[in-house]
Amino acid sequence: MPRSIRWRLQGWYALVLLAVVGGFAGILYYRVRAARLQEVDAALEAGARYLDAHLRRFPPHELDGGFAGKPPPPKGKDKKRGGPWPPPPKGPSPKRLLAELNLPGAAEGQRSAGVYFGVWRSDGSLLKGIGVPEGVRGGEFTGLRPDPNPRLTRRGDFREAHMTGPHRTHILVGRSLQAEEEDLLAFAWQLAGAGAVVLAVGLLGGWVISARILRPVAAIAATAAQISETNLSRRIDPKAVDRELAELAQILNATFDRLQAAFERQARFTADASHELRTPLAIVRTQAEVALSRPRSAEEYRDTVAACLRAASRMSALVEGLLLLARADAGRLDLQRTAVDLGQVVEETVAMFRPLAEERGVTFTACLARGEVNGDAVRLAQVITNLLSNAVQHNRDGGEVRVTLQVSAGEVVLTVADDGCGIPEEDRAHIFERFYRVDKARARSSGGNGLGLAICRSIVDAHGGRIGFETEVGRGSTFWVRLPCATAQRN
Amino acid sequence: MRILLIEDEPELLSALAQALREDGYAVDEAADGEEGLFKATSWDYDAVVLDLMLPRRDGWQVLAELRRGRKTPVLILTARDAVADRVRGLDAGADDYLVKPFALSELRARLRALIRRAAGQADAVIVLGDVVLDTRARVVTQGGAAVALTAREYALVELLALHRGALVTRTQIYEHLFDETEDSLSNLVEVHVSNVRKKLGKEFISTRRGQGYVIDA
Repeated sequence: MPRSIRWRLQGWYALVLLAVVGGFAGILYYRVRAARLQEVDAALEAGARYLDAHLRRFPPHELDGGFAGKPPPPKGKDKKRGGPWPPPPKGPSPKRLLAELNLPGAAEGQRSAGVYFGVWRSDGSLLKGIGVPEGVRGGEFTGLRPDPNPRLTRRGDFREAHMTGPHRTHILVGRSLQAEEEDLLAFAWQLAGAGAVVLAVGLLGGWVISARILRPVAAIAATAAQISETNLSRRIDPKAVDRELAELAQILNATFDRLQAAFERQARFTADASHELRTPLAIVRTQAEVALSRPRSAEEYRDTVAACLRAASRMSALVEGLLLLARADAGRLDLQRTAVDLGQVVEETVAMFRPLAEERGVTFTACLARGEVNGDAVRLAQVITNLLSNAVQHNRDGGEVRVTLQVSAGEVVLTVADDGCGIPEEDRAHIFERFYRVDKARARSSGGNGLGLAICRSIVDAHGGRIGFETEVGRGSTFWVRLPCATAQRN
Repeated sequence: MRILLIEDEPELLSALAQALREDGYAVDEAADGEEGLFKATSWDYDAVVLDLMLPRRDGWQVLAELRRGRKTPVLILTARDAVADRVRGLDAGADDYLVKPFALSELRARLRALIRRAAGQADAVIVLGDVVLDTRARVVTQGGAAVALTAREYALVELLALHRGALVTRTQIYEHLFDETEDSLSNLVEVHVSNVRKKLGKEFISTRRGQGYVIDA
């Protein structure tokens, strides 16, 4: 499973869990081991101290070496040797003491459970030893600085306490650690087993949790798949998923919204375009069918052909407009850019429109400066034609169309103002959309196809300019076009 | 048979009206939704041809208003070809839906079917004893021989035949045979009835005095 979030999550989870369980088990093991050893050590130390205390009751000569078992000679007999023998001690006889010399809790001469001990005199001879393993010899430590406190060493499996007793005797108490090691090994296995169980349960839990965490992701994916496959209206419910994923869901929903809007725009555009083409087609077809259904007079045929021609020119205007928009969308408008005096283009276009305007009782006033732009004269004339046409068509009878051209801040600014009815609030955002018509009733009589302003905007955009309008309902609208000056562009 | 055309495209409207008039229909024209609705609710049309994209009042509104009181058959004739539009149109109360551009012959056939169905007649051929009416070719035969009728006379026979056995008043005949431009105060109905009687026999149409006419089944 390459690059699976779930497996990676599980991997990290396993790693962390392993570290925690392993660390915990390790610490526990060493604490227990230390405690056990401490216990052993304490017992050994206590044994050594006990032996030490016992040895102090021995007559010194018993401990000095060479006189083991022999009582000091009687005082009277050895007077001339003047031996500095101290008086024989009171209390139990040395033999008795030696016999009693044993670890606490052990019967006389018997070995205390697993524990051995040995007492060596300073010359290395053994005073007494019970259960001392082969090869363990005292006196090795007698050369050391006398130490009243037991010193613990480890030799192989054995733990031993060494102590310097009275008269530099060497006391050794030791025991095998085999039982402890075995216990600890068993304990370690238990820990490992328990750890493995915890790890297994934890991993299982992690697997379940990761499945639960990833379930909303799967749900989002399912919704997204449905959106792409069936309809575009389905959305992910951000309330149904967790906060972190809700953000993702919202982002996806916003994307889907844009996608759906784009699709709907496209669908509407196609529907509008086909509608606009179907109507003149229907005219051509019906006119022709009626004309052909029976013999007609020449005048009737002329009327029919004229109607068909009007429908055909309407269709070709529409097709040209659609083609221009399609090219502009593809960024291939192929502008024939030259230095164009926009003022002159406006003047010519206004002159062209005067007869049509007079028909409607609309007057033109033009205040034109020279404004040179680097652009396509034919396309720019198309923009001006569309704007003037709109201004005349949407004007009130006897109204005025005011055209101005001026240069300001490196821009050539063209304005076309009319005294029409203005653009209602709800239509303002859509005015440049393809096939959008403010007044659908006027559409047919004016002969517009709803592409004029969309074409204007595409052409102005391609020239690097801007187009916009100000409007007041009942008072009229002013459309403006701002194009970069030819001189400004060169700089 | 009288038909109302509601269509905002003047050149399509005139061509359609001409075609239907040449078929013998009485045709009224309306160039926008408001006018269309007014006419549709003022007279009893045999069928209404309705465009959807109309100024002042769109086709949906006209249809909705019309359906509040009238059962007039409505054929939607539009450039909107989406399935959703067809469904919406038919569900809104339209009886048929035809997409532009269309074949004139199809529009005619659909209108004939609508008018026939509205009168409760399923067959395009109506048999009245030895007189047979073929509404497709708009021909009347008697005993197998074709009878030459004018368009108006044929329309009168068809109107009475579609309502066979039922009384058709003079006003109804006026409303269904003549369009708004004709003077309905004349005694044209009597003239047509007497002409039909001359051609198909005196008993073919019986008169209910003071009420109207009837073709007995």
